[in-house]
Amino acid sequence: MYIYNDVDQKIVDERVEQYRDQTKRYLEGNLSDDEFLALRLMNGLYIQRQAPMLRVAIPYGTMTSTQLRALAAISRKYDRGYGHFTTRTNIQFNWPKLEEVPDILTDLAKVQLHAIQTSGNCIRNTTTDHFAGVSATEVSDPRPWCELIRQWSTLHPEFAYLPRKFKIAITSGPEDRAATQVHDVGLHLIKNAQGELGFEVLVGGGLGRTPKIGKVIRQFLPANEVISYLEAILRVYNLKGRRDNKYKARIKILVDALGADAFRDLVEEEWLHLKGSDLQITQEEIERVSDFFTPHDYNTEAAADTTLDHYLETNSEFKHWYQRNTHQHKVPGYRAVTVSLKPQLGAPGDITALQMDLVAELADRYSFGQIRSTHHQNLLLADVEQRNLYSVWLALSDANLARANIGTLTDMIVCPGFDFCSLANAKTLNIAQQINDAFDDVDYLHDLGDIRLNMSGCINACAHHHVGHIGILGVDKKGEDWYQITLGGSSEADASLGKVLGRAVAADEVADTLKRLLETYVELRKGDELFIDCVRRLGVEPFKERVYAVA
Amino acid sequence: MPLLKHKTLVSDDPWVFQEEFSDVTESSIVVPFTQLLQQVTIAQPQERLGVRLSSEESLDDLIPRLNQVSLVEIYFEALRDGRGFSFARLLRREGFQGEIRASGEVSRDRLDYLYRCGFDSVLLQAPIDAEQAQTAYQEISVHYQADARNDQPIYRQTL
Repeated sequence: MYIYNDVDQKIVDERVEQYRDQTKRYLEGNLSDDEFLALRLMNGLYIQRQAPMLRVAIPYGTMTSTQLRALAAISRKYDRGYGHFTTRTNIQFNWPKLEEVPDILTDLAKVQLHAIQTSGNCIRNTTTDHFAGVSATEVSDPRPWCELIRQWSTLHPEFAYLPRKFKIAITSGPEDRAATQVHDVGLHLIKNAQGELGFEVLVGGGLGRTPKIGKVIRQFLPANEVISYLEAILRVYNLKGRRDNKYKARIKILVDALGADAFRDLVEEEWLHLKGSDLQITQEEIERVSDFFTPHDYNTEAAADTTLDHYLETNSEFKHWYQRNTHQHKVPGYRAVTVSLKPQLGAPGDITALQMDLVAELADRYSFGQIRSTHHQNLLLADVEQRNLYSVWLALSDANLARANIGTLTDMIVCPGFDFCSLANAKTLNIAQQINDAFDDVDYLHDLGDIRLNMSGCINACAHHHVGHIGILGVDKKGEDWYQITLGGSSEADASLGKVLGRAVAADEVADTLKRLLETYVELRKGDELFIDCVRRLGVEPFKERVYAVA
Repeated sequence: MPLLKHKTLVSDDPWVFQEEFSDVTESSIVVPFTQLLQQVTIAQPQERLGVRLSSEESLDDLIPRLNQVSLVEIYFEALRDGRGFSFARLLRREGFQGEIRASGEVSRDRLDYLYRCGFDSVLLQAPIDAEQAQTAYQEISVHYQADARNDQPIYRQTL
């Protein structure tokens, strides 16, 4: 876990005071609405349907227990005692007062947190695999590189007014749990034949109105040139990206218009000026930052525990949870534990202050005092000894954080939708509840197996509906909410965009439609074929026939 | 309109903007880039000629003519149009030694970024007092990135 030095702290502290002054000038009438809009957005403050919304950065999804407790305290002091985790692994507070935001930022800065560039047309929080550092298959830990990019992108003087927002994700190893192929820039940390560390560089992925899978523009970039190369990409984008239409302003449109080859040529030409320059990261700095992410002091006897087997044999509820919500760890005797923020009742990704405190407590007791937020809107205790799993499960169950649904249909990614967001066209939270009510049978959910359901309340696709195995998009038709369903999307290594199933369905028919869809899957699957594989094998047609035949 | 030069409010600006190019004048004139492009020969000495380049125009087309001017005024067409920041960086990289000025939709809360990208002067639309201007440049005192003023990123700076 990266710990701020004096420079890091100073920048965040000074930014708080800068923002405090900006807010003051705005409230005094000395800063226009338009001017303040750009400034507050770059500090994560939206004016939403009911109140302002403040988005706090959780850099690459890593937090300490101290930070999580501070977030809980902030939610109590300035908000309504809860927060909402997003797909960028950030946390949102839905009810802060505009004039109190500077005080919130002060409280955040005390625990090395901030809201810098969590919105606006600038470089956003870099995300990564939530199993970074504990995955057995990763080539190297991506987190030091995330931190180096965080620093480079923070208050960058040249790239604060880009054509549109800009998102970077890093992954390492064969699995892609960071959706890197649908990011403006995706970086794959790899080793070349000589064993040197570097990145495969993808650009131009994205969702929204024009979903695109990113294109590889460089097979191997020496790792210490990542800043110089990003600077080249951003400069080309800043100069050439469209600014006449916000729906055509993302880098994916530029890459598409020029073609990936021509775009690469522009970047490489610019990079000629930058490679090998002072932008090259020094070995000393790479080591300094990497030292914050060295492996924990793991118990070498952890695998000798026999109590886990006992609990697994005697408690089927615990076993369900173990199977769905805990994950392989590179150290024998350890598991990574997902804290499910997808309860039967409640908005996906929401967490109360009490729950935050409890998770912080569990992290202190069982997981080296650290917590991660995941791209799927859950939390993760990454390093739990197997002998402690039962205790963790009991504690999480008491707090309604142990629904054994990770990776299943009800582990939905859902944006806040029309209830909160001023961009949304349709509600999402009521539909999520409808789905939760319709699919409450644990055995049935587990039988359906891995299914990624993503639901967005508008075309901006904050919940990545295009890359859900099942995607749901809320649309407004003459004042009524309707839902368009797509099948076959994926944001993982085999990334693909979902195909539209057919005409949109009415709000009260979404869960029934899903039921017919999944009954079709159960009928047509071969052996233990996964839902996504079944859809890929058969295409959309058989599902479409069944779904609409009944209606 | 207040003019800040090298972080300081100044009142003696020699530069006068002219919509049309007039060859050989005693004044220091700034003309639109389209006017400059139309001139086949230019007698106005370089030290008294400046050009205004809109953020909508092509920096690449200006670069071959940099030896004709000693001031480049980059006109920001919109608050959210950040191309000018990159223009300034590239002008410096091309070795342009003259004055780089920002005008148009620029304001107090962008002053420090403008300076760091290589702008020498800023023509503001709204009034600003000397103290405010000083504050604007001092709000963030340490920087992670290399920029036009300092080619050392944080990991090469000796603090």
